[in-house]
Amino acid sequence: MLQNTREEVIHVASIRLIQVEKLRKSSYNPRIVQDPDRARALAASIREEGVRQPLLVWRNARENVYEVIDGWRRLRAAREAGIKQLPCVILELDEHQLKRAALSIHLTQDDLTPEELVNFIDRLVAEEEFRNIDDVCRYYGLSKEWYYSLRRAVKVRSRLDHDVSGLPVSTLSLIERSKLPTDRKQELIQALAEEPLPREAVKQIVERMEEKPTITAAEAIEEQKAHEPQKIEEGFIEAEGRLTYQIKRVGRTITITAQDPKQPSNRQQLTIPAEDLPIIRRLIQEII
Amino acid sequence: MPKMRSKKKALELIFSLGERLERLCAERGVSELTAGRGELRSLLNIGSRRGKDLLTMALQQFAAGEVVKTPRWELRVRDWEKPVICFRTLARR
Repeated sequence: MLQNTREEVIHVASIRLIQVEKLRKSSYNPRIVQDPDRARALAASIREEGVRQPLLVWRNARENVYEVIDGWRRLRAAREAGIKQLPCVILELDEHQLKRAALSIHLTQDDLTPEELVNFIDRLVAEEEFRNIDDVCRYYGLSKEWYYSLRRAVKVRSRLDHDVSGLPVSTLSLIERSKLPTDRKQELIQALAEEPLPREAVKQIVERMEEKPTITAAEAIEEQKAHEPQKIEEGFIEAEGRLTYQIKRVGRTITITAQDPKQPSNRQQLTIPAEDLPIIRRLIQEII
Repeated sequence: MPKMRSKKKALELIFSLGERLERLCAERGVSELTAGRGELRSLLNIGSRRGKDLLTMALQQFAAGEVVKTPRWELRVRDWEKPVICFRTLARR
């Protein structure tokens, strides 16, 4: 027996070698598309070394076949390599448990696209496996915000002509939730796809674009990058705001300099012991 | 032959085909239909677009199985080469 984090027991009947012709992809496997390059690499590895990791399967007694819940790509590659039988973990589940287990197994697989995940969750609700999205989130210990972020990301991805798979869902969701018009959202996503930035930086870019409707995404990104700390040399960093700030560490002392770029003579400097830096940081956090 | 490099594009094309076939089912008042080369050409090759070629490529290179199921419809690939697709709308509960 295996025990998952929800203290729910998944019964494993046995691990057996099953004939490949008895195996088929389960309709409760949420994967719809695959990466052909990865599939080719997997096929090459299976031809060379065989299948080392057992497939997770469920016995469909009605049709006398085993449905592959996880490991369909291994099955396909094994078929191509001419392998006759495969090691399989047989899960003892009823159909209702199978649907729930299928989602929990695939939930954390990185290469599942947001579209596939949203489609599968919506399907489970449509098939009345769960009453609603709240019920799904409660069952898997997910926040509703997680699901709706995913939905927003899917919405924004579907409007784009280019691949933005490199952009995190949180970034796409943040842009979709903004007050920017659709074309400005697309422009920003396109620019970020070429040059991904941390979420916090994207948040500030979005705010800048909301404030200034005439600024382009590329200009907003450039402005943001100018505000990002730049390393001048080891222990010496600089960032630009209304003033230019420099922080230099020499031994156990930190020197903070603020200079007005328009009036270079307007320059203030503070030198503090390095061990006091956490105090300064706390004070700044308090005041903000 | 057009090229397709992203699985996201392939997925979108499959979903978009499902939605078009769903509309076609509604227009014809049926819940199931089989779409062969002719139907797929008329649905996807609008103007000078080569949507059917792209779909063939999406199915052959990217599809992770013969069945695609969404909350509203199910699409089953019967022939990967032509392709031939069996489509059915799912009754709303």
